Amino acid sequence: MKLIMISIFVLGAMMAPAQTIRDFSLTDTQNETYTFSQLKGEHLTIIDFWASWCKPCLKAMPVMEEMYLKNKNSGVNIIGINCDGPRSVSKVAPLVNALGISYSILLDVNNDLMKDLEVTSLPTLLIIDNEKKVVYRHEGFAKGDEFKIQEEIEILLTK
Amino acid sequence: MNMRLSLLAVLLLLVHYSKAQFSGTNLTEYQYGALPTQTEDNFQSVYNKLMLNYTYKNLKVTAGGQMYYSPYEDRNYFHPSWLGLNYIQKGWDLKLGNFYETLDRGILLRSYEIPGALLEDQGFRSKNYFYRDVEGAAIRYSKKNVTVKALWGYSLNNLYPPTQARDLRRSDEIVAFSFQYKIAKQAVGLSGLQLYNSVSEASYALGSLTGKLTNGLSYYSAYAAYVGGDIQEYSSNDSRAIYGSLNYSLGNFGMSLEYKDYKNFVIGSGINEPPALIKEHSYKVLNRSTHVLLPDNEKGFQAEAFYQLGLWTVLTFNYTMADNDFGKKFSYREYFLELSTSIGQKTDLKLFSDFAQDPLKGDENRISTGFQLDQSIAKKYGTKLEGEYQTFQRFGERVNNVVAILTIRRLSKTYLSLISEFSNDVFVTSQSNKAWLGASISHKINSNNSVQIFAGERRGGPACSAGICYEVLDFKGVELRYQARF
Repeated sequence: MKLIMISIFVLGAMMAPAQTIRDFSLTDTQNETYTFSQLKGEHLTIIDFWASWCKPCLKAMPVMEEMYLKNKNSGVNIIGINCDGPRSVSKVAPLVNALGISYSILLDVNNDLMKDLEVTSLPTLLIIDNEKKVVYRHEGFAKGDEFKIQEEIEILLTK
Repeated sequence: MNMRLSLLAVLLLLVHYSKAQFSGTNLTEYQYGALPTQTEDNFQSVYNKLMLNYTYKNLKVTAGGQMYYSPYEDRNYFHPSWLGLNYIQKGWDLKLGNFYETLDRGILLRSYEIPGALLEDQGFRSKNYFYRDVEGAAIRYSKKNVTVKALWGYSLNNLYPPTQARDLRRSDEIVAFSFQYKIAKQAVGLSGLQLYNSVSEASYALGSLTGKLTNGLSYYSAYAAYVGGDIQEYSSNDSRAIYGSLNYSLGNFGMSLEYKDYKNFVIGSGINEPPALIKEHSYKVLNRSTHVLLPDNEKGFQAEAFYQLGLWTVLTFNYTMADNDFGKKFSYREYFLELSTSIGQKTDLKLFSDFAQDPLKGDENRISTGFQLDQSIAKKYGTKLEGEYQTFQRFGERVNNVVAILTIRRLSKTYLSLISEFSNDVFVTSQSNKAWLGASISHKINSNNSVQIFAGERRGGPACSAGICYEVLDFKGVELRYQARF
């Protein structure tokens, strides 16, 4: 029986379609609650997982802002998911404002969404299509990655 | 056998057509080596963690286990560590089995998982995943202005590895609730937590007020206290936590101010973790010499300010003070300044300076400074050079720590690093000058698979990640890590 269960899981995983996102709800820095459905883009939604103590995340965020401004009229929205725990969450609001970020930032203090989407390192960027499928995943950030991400957005928009 | 295969085929077809989804992650760490601080022979060990998820619409079921094998029987185990169910629906969030929950910024309860981190303890010398969860049930409901949470369960004490008995690892039974009501841009919160373990029964209550005062000004404040139970030496005034934060931003300037006053506020085996108000540094010398919060007796203040000077330029200043009074008063002070900037299109530069006094550890006039220089070469390649230096006086001895790292990268996929550290700290080495030398290669094979190899000697010591501080053991040998998502 155990063998059957394991086989189901392994074969199921192999047959599994792309990972899909559940309609999560989180609060922003002003304690307002938002759901994924409220914030998702018309065609694509980019979810950027970050934390205030993660240096590559902070390097990526101004690039994400540029990407947001460039693509928002094409039906692409960006949601920043902050993964700071209680120790550093109070730094999030002033940091976001100082970096001039205009896309939505939601707080995942419990890291529930992070675990739900199997995010194991920061920063992690996911692109979600309008069927709620995770169609692209990018971990880490180094200068030059923005070209690859933009290329991927453009390919996905033409599909 | 045919019956079983038919059943399997039917189930797989059902899964496929019902659009249910299986997914999973796996982490494998193989080591050949030893603790250089112990007199032991090199040995091989393997740690593995497998998590499997089943998602159907709003339902998610998770099951997982971990194992550790080495030549030492008493350290080895195979443990089914996780089994959980989560259902979310229009404001409702139900969790059964193993789950994570944080109440009131961790003041009453903090559970967590540090992704990818493994815990190896000097005493047990077993290895297990670094997490602290609750086994039980939780329910949350939110609608417009109201959020209500209730939970019951047994919190994990991760000081004990899975080789130890469940009763020891989950000795704290908790029942808790939390209620928050929003009025305009303010929210009032009330929480309670009841603790049962073999030593005591205790009740804690917390009231909080949070909100936005103006466009750039927000705050959070909380007061928690022991309100009853059989801990004879406590009255509500003897066991309490006060925490407040004020956050302000104007244009490219941002600032956070935080205050703490904790007294006898370790709940159970340490199921809570009030905000530490100590900056968590990513620089090695600073991360290792951090002040670890002592909620039994600590008062303090932290101020952090950011100024965004341009797209790639951020100036950060942090001031931390923490006072511990154990008959004798110990005052920790730290001043940190960092500039992160770009020179032209291809060069990133980070500079930091830090000054601290840490009488609890005996560190006087601790000065730390360093840089990170990241140079892009062509479109896909880059190099990074990191240098850090720290010096301080401890009991009349001058201690010096040096870190030098050279990394070559290809995009954010492949990294090759040469890591060197030097120290004359008598607390970590019996030699007058000790060097730790190592090399690592990490490569993301694709978006679902990554591999990392380390060879050499790695310096241990205290480390903080995602707000949690723990002890990392030294290691000398070869380590291979493989992470997969499917």
